[in-house]
Amino acid sequence: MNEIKLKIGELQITTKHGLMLVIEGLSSCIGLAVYDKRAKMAGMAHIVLPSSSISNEKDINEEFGKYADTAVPGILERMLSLGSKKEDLIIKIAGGTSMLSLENEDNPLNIGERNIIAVKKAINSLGLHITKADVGGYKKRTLKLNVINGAFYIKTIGQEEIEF
Amino acid sequence: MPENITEILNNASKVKHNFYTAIKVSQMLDDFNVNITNLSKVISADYALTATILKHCNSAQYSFARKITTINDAISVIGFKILKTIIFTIVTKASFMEEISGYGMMKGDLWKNSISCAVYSKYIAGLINYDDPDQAFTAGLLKDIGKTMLNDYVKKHFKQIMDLCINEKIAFSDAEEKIIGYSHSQIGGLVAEKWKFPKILIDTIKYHHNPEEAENNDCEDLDLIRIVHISDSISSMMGHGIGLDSLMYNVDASCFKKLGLKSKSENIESLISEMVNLNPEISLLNSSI
Ligand SMILES: [Fe+2]
Repeated sequence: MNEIKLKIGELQITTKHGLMLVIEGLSSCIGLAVYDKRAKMAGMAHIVLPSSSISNEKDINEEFGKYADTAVPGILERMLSLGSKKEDLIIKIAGGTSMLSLENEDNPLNIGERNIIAVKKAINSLGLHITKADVGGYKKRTLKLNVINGAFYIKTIGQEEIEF
Repeated sequence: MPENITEILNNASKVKHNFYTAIKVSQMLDDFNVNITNLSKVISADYALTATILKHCNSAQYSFARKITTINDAISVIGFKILKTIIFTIVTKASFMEEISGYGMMKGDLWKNSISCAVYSKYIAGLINYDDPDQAFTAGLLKDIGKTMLNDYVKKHFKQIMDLCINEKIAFSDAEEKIIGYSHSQIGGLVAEKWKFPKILIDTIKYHHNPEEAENNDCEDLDLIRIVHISDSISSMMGHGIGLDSLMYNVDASCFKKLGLKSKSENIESLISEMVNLNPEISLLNSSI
């Protein structure tokens, strides 16, 4: 099985069987993994920040995997335009950790919490909902999605990998 | 029951072996009357180190017109200051690549975390016109040197330390101190002192999780400590080689203002956006060392 490891800010949509989409070392970033069970199409994004409003115009085309408000439509709208039906999409997210002192949602450094909120909002605004989420806390996670069968896996640091 | 400090510091001897040339070079360079021939001799005596320095100087990082074949050559094209940074980077990699299992760090994690923090530190140093961005790089690189020495003890007491963190909401380093008697920052600081590192490096290692405490403790360069503190926190948030402890620390948000950086949500997000754009640079640096 070939693993495609998504770097920070990277986004992938694929139907190539024999591939496993992987995001290693999710901390305050969010891994968004989407699967269309009918078309056997998989999408994944390694989202860093909640909003592209802080990015300058010029970069936005290259960097749309980096922000929740561009990466979420970047995957979901794209998959819908490629023929996916809303009811066939399985949407899972992981990540969004905080540091010990940052739990307060209003803390400007609490990127993790703001990422979780922004990703949920962007998904809901497309009339879709999250199937499953493993977010928050203080632990690093690795997220995987097998393109051939839509099996999702999560590995939390210090624990065994489990199906997700 | 606190552990014995002499025993902990004995663990430093293995790391010291890797750092031997770096310490010596660093001391020679701190001497204004440094003799280039002697300096080259000291470095050249370490074959592995010399080979890596030359490989790095001939990498895409620099693309000099001609091939750099000797340490003398290297000194003449990159200068002492950068050479010192390179040497520290090479010897740090040799020690930090190992698995640091007490902290849940796999092979390569501590290195990945440290090199990211180093690049981010240099970047923030540049942003605020800090006078020595290369020093910031080295400080960011070495902040967790104490983890390599405290590893076995953290492993032994891990559950107790983590329980204390969670139950009392205290930082992992504070819990280390309560259970083992010393934190990785304190051990790192002690070792750096023993090895006669410059005082500002010792202070940064010692206070990288507690910049506020540094203000009450006669530290020459509070800005460097703040730079590394912020860079360390952002490296952890970005997940660069993090372990079980990495998110169990406080972030002192006042460091932003004290460094003259804006600290509203959008400012911090912009900063992070710029910092993650440095990730390809981190990979390039990593492959040339
Ligand atoms: Fe640390």
